[in-house]
Amino acid sequence: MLMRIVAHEWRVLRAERTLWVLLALTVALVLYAWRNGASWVETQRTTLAQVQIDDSTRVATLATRLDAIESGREEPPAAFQNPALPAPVGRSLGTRAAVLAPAPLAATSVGQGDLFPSYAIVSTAAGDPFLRTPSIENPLHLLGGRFDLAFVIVYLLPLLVLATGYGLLSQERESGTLPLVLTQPIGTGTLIAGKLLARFALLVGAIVLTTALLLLSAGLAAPDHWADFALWVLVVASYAGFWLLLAALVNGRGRSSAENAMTLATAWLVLTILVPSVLNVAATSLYPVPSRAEMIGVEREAAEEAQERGAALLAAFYQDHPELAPDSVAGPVNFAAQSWAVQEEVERVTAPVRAAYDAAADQQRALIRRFRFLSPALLAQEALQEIAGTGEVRYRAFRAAVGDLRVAFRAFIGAKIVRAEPFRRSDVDALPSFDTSRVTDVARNGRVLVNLLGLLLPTLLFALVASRQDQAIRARARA
Amino acid sequence: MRSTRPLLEADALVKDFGGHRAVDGLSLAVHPGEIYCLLGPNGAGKSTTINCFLGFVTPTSGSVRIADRDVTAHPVETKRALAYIPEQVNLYRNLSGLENLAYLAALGGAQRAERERLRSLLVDAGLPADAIDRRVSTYSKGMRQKVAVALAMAKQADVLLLDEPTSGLDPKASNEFSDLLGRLRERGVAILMATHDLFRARETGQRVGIMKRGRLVTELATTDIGHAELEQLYLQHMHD
Amino acid sequence: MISTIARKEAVELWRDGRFRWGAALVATLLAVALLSGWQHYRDIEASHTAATEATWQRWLSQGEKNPHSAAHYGVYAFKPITPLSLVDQGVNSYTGVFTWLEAHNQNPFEYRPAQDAPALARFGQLTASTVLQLLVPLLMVLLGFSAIAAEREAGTMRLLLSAGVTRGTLAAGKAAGLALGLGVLLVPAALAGALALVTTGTAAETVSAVSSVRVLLLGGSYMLYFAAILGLTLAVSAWARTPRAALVTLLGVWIVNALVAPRVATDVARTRAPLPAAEAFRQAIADDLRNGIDGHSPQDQRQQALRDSVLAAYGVDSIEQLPVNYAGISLQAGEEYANRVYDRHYGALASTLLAQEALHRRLGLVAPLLAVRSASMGLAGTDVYHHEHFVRAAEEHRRLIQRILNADIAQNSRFGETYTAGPALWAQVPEFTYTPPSLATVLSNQSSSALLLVTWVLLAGIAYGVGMRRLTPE
Repeated sequence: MLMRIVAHEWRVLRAERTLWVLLALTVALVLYAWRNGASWVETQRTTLAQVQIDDSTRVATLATRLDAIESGREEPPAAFQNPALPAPVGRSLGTRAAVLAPAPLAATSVGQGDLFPSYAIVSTAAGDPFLRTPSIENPLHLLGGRFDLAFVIVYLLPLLVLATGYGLLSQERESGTLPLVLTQPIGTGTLIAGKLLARFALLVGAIVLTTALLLLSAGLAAPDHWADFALWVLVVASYAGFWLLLAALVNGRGRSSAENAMTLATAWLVLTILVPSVLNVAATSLYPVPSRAEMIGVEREAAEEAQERGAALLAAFYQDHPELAPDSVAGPVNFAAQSWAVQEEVERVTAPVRAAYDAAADQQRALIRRFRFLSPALLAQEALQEIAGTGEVRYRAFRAAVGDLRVAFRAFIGAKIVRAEPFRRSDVDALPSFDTSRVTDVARNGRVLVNLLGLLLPTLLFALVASRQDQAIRARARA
Repeated sequence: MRSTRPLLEADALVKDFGGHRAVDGLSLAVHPGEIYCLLGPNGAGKSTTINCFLGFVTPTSGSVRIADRDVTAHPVETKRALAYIPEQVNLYRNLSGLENLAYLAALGGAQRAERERLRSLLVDAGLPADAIDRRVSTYSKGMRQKVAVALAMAKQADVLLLDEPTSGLDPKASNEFSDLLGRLRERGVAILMATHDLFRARETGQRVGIMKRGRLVTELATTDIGHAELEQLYLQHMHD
Repeated sequence: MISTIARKEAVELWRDGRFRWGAALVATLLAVALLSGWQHYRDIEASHTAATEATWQRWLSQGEKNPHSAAHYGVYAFKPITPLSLVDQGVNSYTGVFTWLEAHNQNPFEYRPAQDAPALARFGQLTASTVLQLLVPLLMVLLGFSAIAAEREAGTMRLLLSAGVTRGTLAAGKAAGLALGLGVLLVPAALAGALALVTTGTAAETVSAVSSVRVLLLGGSYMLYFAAILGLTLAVSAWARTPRAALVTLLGVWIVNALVAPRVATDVARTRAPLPAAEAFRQAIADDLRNGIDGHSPQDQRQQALRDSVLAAYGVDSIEQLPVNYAGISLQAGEEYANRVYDRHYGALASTLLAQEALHRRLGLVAPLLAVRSASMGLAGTDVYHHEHFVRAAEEHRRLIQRILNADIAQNSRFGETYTAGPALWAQVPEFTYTPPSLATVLSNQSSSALLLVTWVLLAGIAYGVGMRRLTPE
């Protein structure tokens, strides 16, 4: 029975020519969005490949030059660019690249990827290498966001759903066919389910099939990549389901098509635009992140104070780390070690200030995490980004991993500086490098599932309410 | 009296809309093979009574039953035995008459393979053969009504509810329609028809009931009364 | 007659529950947006003023040191926030907030506030400009779609026209009625905004004549935008066969204007005027500095040539014989060579960014939102042009600092000696004061957006007029 209704709905849509327009529009949107996303991923890959080549070239050059110096074939250059000294190696000659490769489904959502770098060069320099990686992008484009598949799904799919569903019953009532249909022995629930299913299969089917074909043509092969895609399909399907059931619920109230369209447009506006922006205002007003301008003052002050106490700091440093003290304390002042001790002190003093920025941002996020269930658009957006590997969480994990590498790198170079040891050829292989596995996120599927539940629960609730509207629908069968 | 159980039955039916009582304690019964015509002015409660049988309106009190089943309690089951022809038969304008019939009959439980039978039913109902596969948007009112009749035949409905079916039809179409109803009656269908047309009611129906302000004021067999007498009786009630 | 119709329309609108709910919602959002915009303005203004003052004091009190070492210490330039950013924050969240002015390097602007913001912020910030650019048009669509179409469907159009009302009068009356209804909503909001602006005016320049002209122009741009949307709404209502068709068409127009157009404009701009990748950009600058802009004059050759030309100019044989310190001359020459490299690369970057912005503005021909957004950000001083203007000013100041310090080294020290300068020299460096672009510049930038908005109003008006003329009563 359900399939008969579905077939009939398609026939009606086809006779109105809506079917082809809708299919063509949906497929065109998906193709356009995919092209955008894919070209973004392509650029990303090129950049990252270059960064990795640079990284290995840097290390290889360092090794070659050290070989030459240690075998006496080359005179060591001036101190500030001497590869045999740990400080220049830490500053520039031996810096390490950390790279976050695009996830298999990255082309489906640019997400936060245009705002955050997917690589960072780790050195001994001050500051968070993740935040300080320069990127070139027109701020106007960051403001507007991208036309990617996630945009099509989060913003446009509901509108396509509503465009086909606002007159689910009201249009039949207005054209007078509803009384004849309702005098047939079927429940209104079955009728609505059939109508919904027809639209669902059409829209979601078009999106999923087109995307699947695009993924195939892009060479997506591994089974776990297809598992990601399956998850993606679930999110898209539940999100479309939410809006379809909402349309059914609104139609059950028996108002005119124009009124239904207005109600649904307003619901779309509230759920996809207003709730997120009001939530954003609430989060940023309750837990404002101070301007980074203030950080500069603190850093400079700490640096000056530390510089004045330079010698004392170094002495205190050796006291705390007797194992790092050089064999002979006598001799000229070790300026490199002193400057290192100053840097360490600045790091220590400014750490709480830097942490305050992250703490405020964390509080904002905690608030948003609690209230994100108010907006299905937010849930879907977050889930789609997570699956595409361009979500907030993954970039934060990358930032943390970069931070860890920086700590390890600084410890390695710092130990040599304060011990007044040279940097040897054998140290090159021991230079800490980026461990990609630090960014693997085992909890991701769990988080996506929570968001899926957040989408499915209201959908089920709507279904329940809609299925109890039988009496009301029959009572208003006639225009 | 009659040996059969009535197929359509209203018992002390009351329906209020806000403060207005549209149907006030109406009781009537229609038996198999009988055409019952409800007469009355606009606003007398004829359509509301029909809508109660269709389940489009829930009675305030009293009950409506189709084939011994309460309409309110069994909205879906009671539709199995029922066919309905509204005053204005509206169909899916962009589909053909046959496609419309196929869909509606399918909702009534018909099989997909029955296309040829449905086509012949449309012919039986008097739809010109060349119109069957044309879009309904090209149909006249009478042609659309014939699709509805074909649907009633396709469902082999025991009960037929009609709301002002002949209004707006030309005399020839109206006459053809009465013949169709007569044929259905002969197959044992119980027909309840709300109408303004006294002449047609006496010609087609076995019994007529005159409604006024929600009440059934008179009920009589058409064999007992001539056309002039019926008209006089009707007007007399209206003037009270 | 027109006023009778307008009054009837406005009364009908006012009695419509939808209007009251919609208006209340939009007014509340506008108030919240202005309030949070005001708070944000105050916070950033205070923090950047304090930071600017602190970096300047630190510069003055850095004690005795070599001027070049002071040049490396440098100062920071913090981007000031404009008062009108409380209406339109523009690209502020996506541009860096400060840069380090030091010797040798033009440093990029650091820390985009968006990087500290939750991902949610990418859904769009609730600012007055969002409310005005997106929500008010939607409200207009929802209230106005049936203005003509419903009269036709309900049959009242026949009555009106048979009563002797001309189509022109009817058209004008309908438009005036809707505008009146919206005026009730927008005028108090505009006043509240202006009030907020005056109360934020702790600094004298805030309420200066220039900024009140800006406020008026800003208001004018939005009025044109609303007029265009109103015209479009009524035109579609007149042309559509049913109110339903009018509504669906208008919602489609709204989506294209509000959601699709800005993103497509981004794609167009990225393809037509592509930006370099960050790594390639950095590398190109490094290459030019090392190998020369022509690629054939490496650094040591350039230094040799400089030394030769200086010695020849003074007619001496060695740098020790020079009456000035060669170190100062060499440092300044290095700066100037680097400046040419920076002008070349950062200049190309800035012109690409501005070309992209201009493309967005020109695409206002396709979607009026792009035109009004450009005008709004331009007048609020929060567009890419203003950012690049500040970047340029900060860089000019950096170069000025280097010139002063290098000149001091050249004049007041001898080659090879250990030389230090003190607070007297630091105070010779002027404090960085930023003069934003003049109103005239902004206006010439935005003349095309104004023109586009006027074009939209005219086109919508014509479409409405023609639609009314060919209108059949049912």
